[in-house]
Amino acid sequence: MTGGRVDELLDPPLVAALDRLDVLSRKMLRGTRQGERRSRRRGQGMEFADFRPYAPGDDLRFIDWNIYGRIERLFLRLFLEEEDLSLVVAVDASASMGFGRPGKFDVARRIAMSLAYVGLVNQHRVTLAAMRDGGAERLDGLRGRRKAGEAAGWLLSQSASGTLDFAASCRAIASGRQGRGVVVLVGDFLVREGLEQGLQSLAGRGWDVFALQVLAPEEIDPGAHGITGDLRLVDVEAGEDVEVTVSEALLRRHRERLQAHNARLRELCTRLGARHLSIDTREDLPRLMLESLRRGGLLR
Amino acid sequence: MSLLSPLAGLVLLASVVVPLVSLYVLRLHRERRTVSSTLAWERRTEDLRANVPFQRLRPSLLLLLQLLLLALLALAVAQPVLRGLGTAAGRTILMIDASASMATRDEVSGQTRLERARALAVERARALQGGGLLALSAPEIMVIAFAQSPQVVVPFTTSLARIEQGIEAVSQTDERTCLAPALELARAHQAGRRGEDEGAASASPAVIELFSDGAIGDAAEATPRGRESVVWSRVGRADTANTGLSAAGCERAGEDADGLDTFAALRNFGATPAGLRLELRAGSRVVAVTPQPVQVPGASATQGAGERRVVFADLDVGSERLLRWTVSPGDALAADDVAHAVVRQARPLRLALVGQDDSLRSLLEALSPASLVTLDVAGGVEAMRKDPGWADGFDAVVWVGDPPAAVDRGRWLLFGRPPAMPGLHPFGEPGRDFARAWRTEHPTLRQCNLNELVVQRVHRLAAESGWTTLIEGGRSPLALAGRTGAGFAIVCPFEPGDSNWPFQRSFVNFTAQSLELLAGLGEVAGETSIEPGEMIRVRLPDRATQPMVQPPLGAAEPMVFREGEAAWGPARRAGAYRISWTDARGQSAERWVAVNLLDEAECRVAAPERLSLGGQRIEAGGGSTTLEIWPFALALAVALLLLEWWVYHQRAAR
Repeated sequence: MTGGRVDELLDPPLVAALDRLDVLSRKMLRGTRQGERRSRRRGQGMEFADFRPYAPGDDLRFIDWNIYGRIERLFLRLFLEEEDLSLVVAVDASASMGFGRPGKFDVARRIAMSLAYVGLVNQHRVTLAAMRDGGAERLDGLRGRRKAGEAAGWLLSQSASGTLDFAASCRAIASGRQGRGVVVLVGDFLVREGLEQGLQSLAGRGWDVFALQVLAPEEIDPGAHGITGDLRLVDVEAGEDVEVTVSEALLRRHRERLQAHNARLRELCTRLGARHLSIDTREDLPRLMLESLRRGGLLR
Repeated sequence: MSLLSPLAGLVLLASVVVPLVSLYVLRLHRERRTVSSTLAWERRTEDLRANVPFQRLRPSLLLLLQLLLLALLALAVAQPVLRGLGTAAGRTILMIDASASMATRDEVSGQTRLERARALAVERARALQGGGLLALSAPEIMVIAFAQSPQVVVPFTTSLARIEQGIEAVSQTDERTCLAPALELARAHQAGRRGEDEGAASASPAVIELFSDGAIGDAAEATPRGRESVVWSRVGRADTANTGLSAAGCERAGEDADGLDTFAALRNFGATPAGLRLELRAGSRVVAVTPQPVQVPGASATQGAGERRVVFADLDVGSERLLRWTVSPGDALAADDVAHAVVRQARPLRLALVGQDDSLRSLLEALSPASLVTLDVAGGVEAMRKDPGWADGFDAVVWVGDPPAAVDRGRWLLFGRPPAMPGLHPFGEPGRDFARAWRTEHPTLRQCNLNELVVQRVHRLAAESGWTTLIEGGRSPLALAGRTGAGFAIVCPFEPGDSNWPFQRSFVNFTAQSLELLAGLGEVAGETSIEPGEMIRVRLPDRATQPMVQPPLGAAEPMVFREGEAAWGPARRAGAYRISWTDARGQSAERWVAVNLLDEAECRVAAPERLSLGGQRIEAGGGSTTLEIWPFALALAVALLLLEWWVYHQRAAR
């Protein structure tokens, strides 16, 4: 099996479960049309794979109207891309990801390893990227199960440090290869600017973008995790501080502002044809991979 | 608005504002905590607490409210009072009117005006002096009581006890109000203090606070000077009516030594007619009353006070020497509801005529005097040179032509160029004149019609307030009466031959009545009836000793006795004063002097709304002296405190 450093990131039972999964792309190949299978690029065709319930933002051309006529529910046709699929798993490796218990970066690294493993065992071309300091450190050209150890070693070599210029990092990822495939962005997405530009730069190049937001419980409910009293909160990346006297009202407004930010992220993803899933670091990884991401249409 | 404790307020403000602002400059010590992002945290720009230096002072609603709160507290501590009167700064002179009208009992509290004025003055003194609970220094206050003459009750002092004691000691008089001498007295004392404080900053004149009902007869002469500030606290009511006696007198009824004619004038200052009863007593015996109320018309703007005269003729008063008229019903001012007169003893006149005037000589001879000495002017001058008290030997001296050298002793009826007398000032050239108005109620002018009187050559005179103008001419007085030191004179500044008067009956009446008046004065060196505020002077028989005076109120007092004349006074209250002495045989003897309040200005008791002092208008300060502002400032501070508390908790709850 994989052995080696993969075990440092993934439990063997999870690895066994991941062997049965594959990555799904919502994007059709160029020239394909709604519900048709006639087009094969470079001698390869598209194979119908599955149905999934329609979600806002999905391409309306893939709705199966026959099913709708029978049961009056919208389902989307999913196709298996027969050409080799590019899977880019980009992890936010900025300093803010080092926050939380367990650390967000550790969780993100394990998720990235899980997704990369799924891609490798399905012979997709897998790229790992670490977004940091306005760029993206990449590990390209991974294909096949035997590369899992290399991927794990690379991920383990990364650490949460520096700052994140989300737009610049996304542009760096997008410029690496013409988009045809899936980009999974794993991070906290707690950025003040560049969110739309970054996502636009990927979606605009044809990538099927999946934004997997990982937040620590301390960020979701700081009042329950020791954020009380008169504090000077220091932004670990920007270095700027905010003086607060924590009260119930302030915590309520913090929750409202966080929810508003997440809602904006979700709305942005929908508008750009991307998908979004938000989890906290306490989420069980097997459950995330085997249930949540399958429900989210990233895996099957 | 004035501050009673301005320094205390400033000290509070200065001592608290700086620490308060410092608290806002200090920062709160906050624990440093690293977070992944401050994206969801709201920036808080205002601290609710602070304990670490320093930060830039930022605009803060809480700070503003707290500064306002402090300002209000400081204002409250400074004890602001709002008043129409004066200021607490520098020196203050409290001038209390103690004249006759101040005895009017028309205050809501049942007090007389003087009692109310004293209470207001005490209140004001406390406000100025000790009213500031936290006042560090007290202003100096002087108290002057004034009526006909002023009196310093308390000189400049900072002792509140002395001031209160002095104010309470101001006693009621029945004198007329003379404000001008009181102002002069105040100026003199201020000048003295400025001399003491030479070089000091307190050169500004003191504020004069006047506590009066505004019935001031010499208001036109009492002119504030330069930077003098006079504020007036009015007492009394504007709608108070008054009735009383404006004149009273008696005379022998012709040749009948026992019969007595009396007359009295009833006066009504109210707007509506009044029915008044008049009772006359001789000693303790009622000798006459009006059978029914005398209807006295109300006052009018053109005619002034309404007046009616009552004559009781041919009365038998026996041996009684003192008459007393009483008006009923009584009213707010009691002093003018009673008048007294002294019945003089009937005896033939001893007269002297100096100068050549046949009409006068005939007239004097017709009066059947006990003696009539006639001299020419040179003879009169020589007689006076030899004996300065020559005139005292007569009941009256009639002088025509060039004036005598001195008229300070004796009783005089002077015709022609007047001698130099205090209070009479010649001016201009002699000229033609006529009788414009005359005092019909005066004893010398009863039954006199002067409509036809024309004088070809009158010496022009200007008279001061001590003189009574009997006949007013078109340009200057034609007859005056007044005191001349120890004597008394009726002055006609023209010779009878220069007028058509000798051919009129009024000349006979005037001359005869003037001589009767002058002769009657012989019993009292001055007048048988004097006004309050004047000295009582009595010429006593030779070898009289131990003269005493018994005022209507109070205990008997010894009189000053010199050169045959006993003096006491001034007689401040109206009423009958009993003069007693021991004669040469060691027996007790007595006389009476009547002191009557007949002054119109004092009897017109309706307190005016404004006062005109020498043309300078002064508005009444009203019945209350102060409105204390500090309770309102304190209440506002409490309201602001609640608002500040609410804002604080709103912020704390964020």
